[in-house]
Amino acid sequence: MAVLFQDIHDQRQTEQALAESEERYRSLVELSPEAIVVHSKGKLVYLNPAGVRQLGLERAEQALGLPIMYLLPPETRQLNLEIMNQVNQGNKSLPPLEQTILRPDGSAIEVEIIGAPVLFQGKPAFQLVVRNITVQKQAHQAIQESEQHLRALIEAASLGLHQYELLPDGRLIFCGANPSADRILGLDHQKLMGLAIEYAFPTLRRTEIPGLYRQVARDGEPYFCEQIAYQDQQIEGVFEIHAFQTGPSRMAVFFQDVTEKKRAELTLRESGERYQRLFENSPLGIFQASPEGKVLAVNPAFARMFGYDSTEEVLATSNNVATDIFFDPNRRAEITGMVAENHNLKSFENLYPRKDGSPFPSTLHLHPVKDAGNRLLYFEGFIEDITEKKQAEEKIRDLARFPEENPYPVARINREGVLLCANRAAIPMLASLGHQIGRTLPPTWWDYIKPVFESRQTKEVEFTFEARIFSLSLVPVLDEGYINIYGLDITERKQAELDLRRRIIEIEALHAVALAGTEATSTGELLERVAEIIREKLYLDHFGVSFLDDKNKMLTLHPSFVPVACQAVVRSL
Amino acid sequence: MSCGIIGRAARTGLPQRVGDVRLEPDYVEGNSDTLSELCVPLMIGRHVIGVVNLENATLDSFTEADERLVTAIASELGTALENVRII
Repeated sequence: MAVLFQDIHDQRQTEQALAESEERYRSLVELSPEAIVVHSKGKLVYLNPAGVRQLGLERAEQALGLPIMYLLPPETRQLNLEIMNQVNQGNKSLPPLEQTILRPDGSAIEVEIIGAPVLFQGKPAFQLVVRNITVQKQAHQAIQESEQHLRALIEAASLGLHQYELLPDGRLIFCGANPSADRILGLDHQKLMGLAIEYAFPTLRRTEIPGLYRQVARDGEPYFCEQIAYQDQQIEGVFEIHAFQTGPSRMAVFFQDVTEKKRAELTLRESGERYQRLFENSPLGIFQASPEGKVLAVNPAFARMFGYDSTEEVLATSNNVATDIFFDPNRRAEITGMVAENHNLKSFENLYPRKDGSPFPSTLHLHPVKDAGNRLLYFEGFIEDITEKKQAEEKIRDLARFPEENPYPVARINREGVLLCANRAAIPMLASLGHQIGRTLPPTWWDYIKPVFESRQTKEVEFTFEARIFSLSLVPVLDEGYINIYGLDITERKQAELDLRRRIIEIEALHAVALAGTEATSTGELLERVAEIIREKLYLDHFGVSFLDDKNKMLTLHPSFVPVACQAVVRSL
Repeated sequence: MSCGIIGRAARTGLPQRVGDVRLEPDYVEGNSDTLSELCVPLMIGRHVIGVVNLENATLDSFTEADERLVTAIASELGTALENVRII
């Protein structure tokens, strides 16, 4: 006999090891958090618990036996079939592949599949490890969309954007800009790409900006500066910057040109300062009062005007404009009422009380301050103490009364011969000549006026009106372009002159008669000489001397006058 | 004593100044063109010895001043006539 024996100890050991291995594999697959699917000949033959959950099933049996292609969208089935054929033929692993899987309930999930041929229950099969990456895909897509959105925002932003990268050697390299940066700075940033910040923007070398930007890129601490002045050959302006880290060793700077804004702020500030100076130093009293009548602010001139020591004292003691500021408590309501009726009314004369109670006249210039919505915020007023002005006006009125009260004519004529004004005494005289104020005097007046304008010398003219004789002094006031006429009634003076002249004539005549009396040798000669003396003094058509006869009965014309009785001798005083 | 304005001056011993002889009832026309007349008595002491007569062909020709002047001259003339004693 022969005994054939075979040592199967090793075989048994191998089988046992294989069984243990399969058990370990099964245990591993069953516990795997990733879905594991095995399909053979196109049908699902195994699905681990994670796969059951992945496909939204309750039990693996619900899917076993289904064609694997049912899990794929129709449009990808052909492609997947080809891929699997290639894998099968090459007996090699399926590289990681992102895929969409349709669950039996119709919903889709995004997965990453890694596959490899295996023997399943002794038969060739294909094992797929399916990782659900739906959440990652969604997150990735969200990130992509967010980045796209952010990029679009940056591109469309009105702010300029510069991007930098901090290299390990410490250089901060310019690596991007948005279109607004080109527009704001007026240059093509493409030319600056790859340049270190100090070369891209040379003027920044003298500033701490490059260092600060490096710090932002390195440490991630954002940096903000409201106002950086920059000037080189191409760029000039004041910029507001916001620097922030965009990634490790990367940073970006949002900036905007605030030159105009700063200029406007400066102008506004200066304007505010000017207003403040004006407010503080104005000789006018300035106040602000609420619509309800509360005093909000007053300037020093206001305090002085009202007799207070300080503006603080005014504010502390004046609670109500109507009762504390106006002399007449009803006046404020009266004024606000008038303003409400007529918006063009802005100035009012009022009496105000000083601290000691004494009133002073003032002009109030009032205007309402409203907001953009036309809502009344407060009243602002300027008070001008017109005490001196009133006194001056009274003086002027007094002075004006002076010529008016003059009993003699006073008038004014301009270069064009227009009668500008005249006092009461001149009016009847001018009216009798047909002259009126505002009208041009007749050309005859030019005989008097023209020489005065030309010679610049005062001229005296005599003028008779209603049996009165006036001396008119025409006084040129050339700077003002007119002549003042001052009249003086010289009737009495002229009469006195006339009387004096007559008296002289009388004395001369009497002296001549007395002389004739001593020299004449006959009555006829004496009478002729006396007749001649009288004719020298008086205008006469006829002259004669008659004598009484001895009985005083008859008057007889002396023969001396008979031949000359009809002679006309012209003499006048 | 003669009538007329001259006569009145001689009678009254006062000057007669007439602005419009046409309105004077006493007027006796001597010269047809006369319209106004001044007559001043010629006196020696308090006695009227004659009349100085002035006439003009215009109305109101003689003034009060003229009257005063002629009166003074007439007075001086009376003295002169007395002095020369030639009447």
